Amino acid sequence: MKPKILIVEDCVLLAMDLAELVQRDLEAEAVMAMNIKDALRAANDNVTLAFLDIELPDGESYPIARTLMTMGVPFIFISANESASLPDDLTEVPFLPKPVVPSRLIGLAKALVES
Amino acid sequence: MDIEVRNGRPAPNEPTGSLGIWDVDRLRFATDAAGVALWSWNVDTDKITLDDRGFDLWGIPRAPNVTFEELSARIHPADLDKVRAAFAATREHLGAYETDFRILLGEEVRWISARGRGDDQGMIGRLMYGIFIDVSVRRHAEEAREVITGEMHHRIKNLFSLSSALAGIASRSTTTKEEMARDLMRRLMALSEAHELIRPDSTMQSAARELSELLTVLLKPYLDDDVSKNRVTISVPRMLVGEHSATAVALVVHELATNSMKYGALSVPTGNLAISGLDQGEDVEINWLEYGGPTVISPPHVAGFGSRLVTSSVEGQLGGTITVDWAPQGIAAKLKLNKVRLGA
Repeated sequence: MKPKILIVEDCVLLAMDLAELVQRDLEAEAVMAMNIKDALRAANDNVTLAFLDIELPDGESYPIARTLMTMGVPFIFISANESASLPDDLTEVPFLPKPVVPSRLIGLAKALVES
Repeated sequence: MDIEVRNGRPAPNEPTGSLGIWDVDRLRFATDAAGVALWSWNVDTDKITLDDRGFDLWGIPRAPNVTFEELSARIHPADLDKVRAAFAATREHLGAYETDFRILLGEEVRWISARGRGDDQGMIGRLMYGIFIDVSVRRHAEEAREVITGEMHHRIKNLFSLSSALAGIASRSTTTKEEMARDLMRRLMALSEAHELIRPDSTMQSAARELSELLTVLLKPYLDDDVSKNRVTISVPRMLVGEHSATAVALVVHELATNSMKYGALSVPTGNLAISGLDQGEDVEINWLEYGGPTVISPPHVAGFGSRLVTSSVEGQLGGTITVDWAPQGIAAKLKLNKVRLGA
């Protein structure tokens, strides 16, 4: 079965770019969510990996991050925010600054899925 | 003669020469006018004497003298170490110094600048002299500017993210470099036009704009200066489009217009486009109707990037719905948008 990757990003263009990368380079299914509410719902549906933007229209994505942690689903923060501003319990989470370098994202995603 | 005038203190109403003007009373007028508070500091006893304005500035009751420790109770905790260090180093400091710090007066944060001279210059007896001045207005303006700079930085980073996403998308959805450049540039132009309209003011507040105005700007390339010759008509209810939604609206309108230019009414001089709107209370329905163009043949890549972008923008970003009907007589798109979301 294809792995399923959750993309939480409120900018349509960025989300679609990531979705294309997921489909093409990771041969995975992309599930998109643009706010915390939709992301929390989508996270419960057998997600293999998640990409999380931090600033979303209904707040910061930390509740999604903590839910994923409890579920044991690996995820990557992708944000223009500095990684230094992450809450203490989330500083160990892999962080990629925007703009994302596709090869780095793909490499990191593969490593997280395999481990 | 000059010395006599200086020591002789002529009456305040009859100053003679430039030196006579600056007697104590007149100096007081000048410092009051400038909002300057005076202090003196005994380097042996560390006693500080303030004038009335000084007590008012610090918000402390009048007393013959105060100590640094009494004043420091007012100083913002974040600035205290800095002020303490500056105060301790005052006498070793060569020449004039200036230390700005915050004090707390209940809810109010006041910026004070302490100015004087170090190295025992101008010491009379055991007393050093200097001034305090309220620099809150300037400092608060600087703080506001920092917030704006931060916001600008954030927006610029977002813009780079968007641009690189667009470049990635263009590279995957085209086959030649010319095609890719055209694709990338036209999407960047659409975003640029949307930004131009919603351009934030000096406090980074973006003005919401009329939907009709936004549509007019976005479709400008297809509009004729002579209204009677216009192939494109825009008639929508009065409605505001906010900053976030403007980008999504720009992308959607842009994709629909590009489609029309390739396959629909805007591909031939005789074709027409009518955009109309219907206020439905919470929602607004916008109808994009093409007619008079060539017979529309649904393109093979109808589920291509452009149409996915339109769908995602409308559903994801605007919380609405869109249907595009590739009818042979003309493309018809029906958008349903939430007015509150549109204003955001």
